[in-house]
Amino acid sequence: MSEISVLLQDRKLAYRPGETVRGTAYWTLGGQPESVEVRLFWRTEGKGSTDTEIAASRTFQNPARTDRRDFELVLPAGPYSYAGKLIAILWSVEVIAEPGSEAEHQDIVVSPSGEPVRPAPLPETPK
Amino acid sequence: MSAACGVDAAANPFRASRILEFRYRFVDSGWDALLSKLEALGMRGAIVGPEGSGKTTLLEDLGERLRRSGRRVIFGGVEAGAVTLLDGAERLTRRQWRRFLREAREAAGLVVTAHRPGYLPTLIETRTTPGILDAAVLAASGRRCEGFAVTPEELWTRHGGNIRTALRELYDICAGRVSPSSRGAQRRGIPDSFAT
Repeated sequence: MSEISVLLQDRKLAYRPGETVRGTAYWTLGGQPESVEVRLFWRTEGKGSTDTEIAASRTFQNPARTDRRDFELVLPAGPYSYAGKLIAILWSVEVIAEPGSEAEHQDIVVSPSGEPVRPAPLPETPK
Repeated sequence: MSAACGVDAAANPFRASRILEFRYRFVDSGWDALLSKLEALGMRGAIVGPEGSGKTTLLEDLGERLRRSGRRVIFGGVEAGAVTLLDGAERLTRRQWRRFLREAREAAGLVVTAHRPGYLPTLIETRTTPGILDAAVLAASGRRCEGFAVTPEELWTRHGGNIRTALRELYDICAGRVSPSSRGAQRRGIPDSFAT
């Protein structure tokens, strides 16, 4: 049985835009991997169709069946993590091994404040 | 806490990514019958049904089945020796459709989805039932429709059997954005254990 994990440096889970995400990927796979890659990506979640984009990635050279590799990935300027009721923007660091697309991910927050941006409350309607 | 407090999109039990995890549920046949009919039709057929009846989901599931049986499967494209799956035949113009059929002659199979019959021999007509909707609601939220103060029949009928839009109504309820069509449910009071 395969095991993949991703551990971020200092267990840091909140980042500012443009900051570097550092961590270590660990894996023990059922067979020799063709490739192992770490990806920094965001995805939307909510009512409508979902969207996703890989902001940065790194492919590990000559990965062994059991291995660990350090990585550094630089965050772009945006989008910020967002927690609305109709839509959310979620950031993750994912390690994915092929063949089989076995993967594990760690969710992170990307914003200037370290918290997901929330929609401003609507002004009260005058009665 | 009232339902009007609502949950964030990432925690909404009816969020899109969770709905996409649902697999097609047959009403009165099954995989054996479907695959036998596909063979009998020379591996060419159409999945026909109204919106929200599971055509795309069934097409994806069929692709997975065919792959597991050792066939090569291509979504949208055509390749000699592979089974082509096309979601939404209506999106092609008549000319594009004729060209597509010509190109697909060398394919090992061709299955399309459409809202109406006529593109290829009908492989299956997809439909839903209030029971299927109720099962989807349970799978998403851990509650049956009654947990949202609506019967499966009422919700199913209100959406004309469209599971997708019915689940979107429940999304709005969980988000605290009650749609006009569910005001009846709102009046009856919707228990809320999804609010964060």
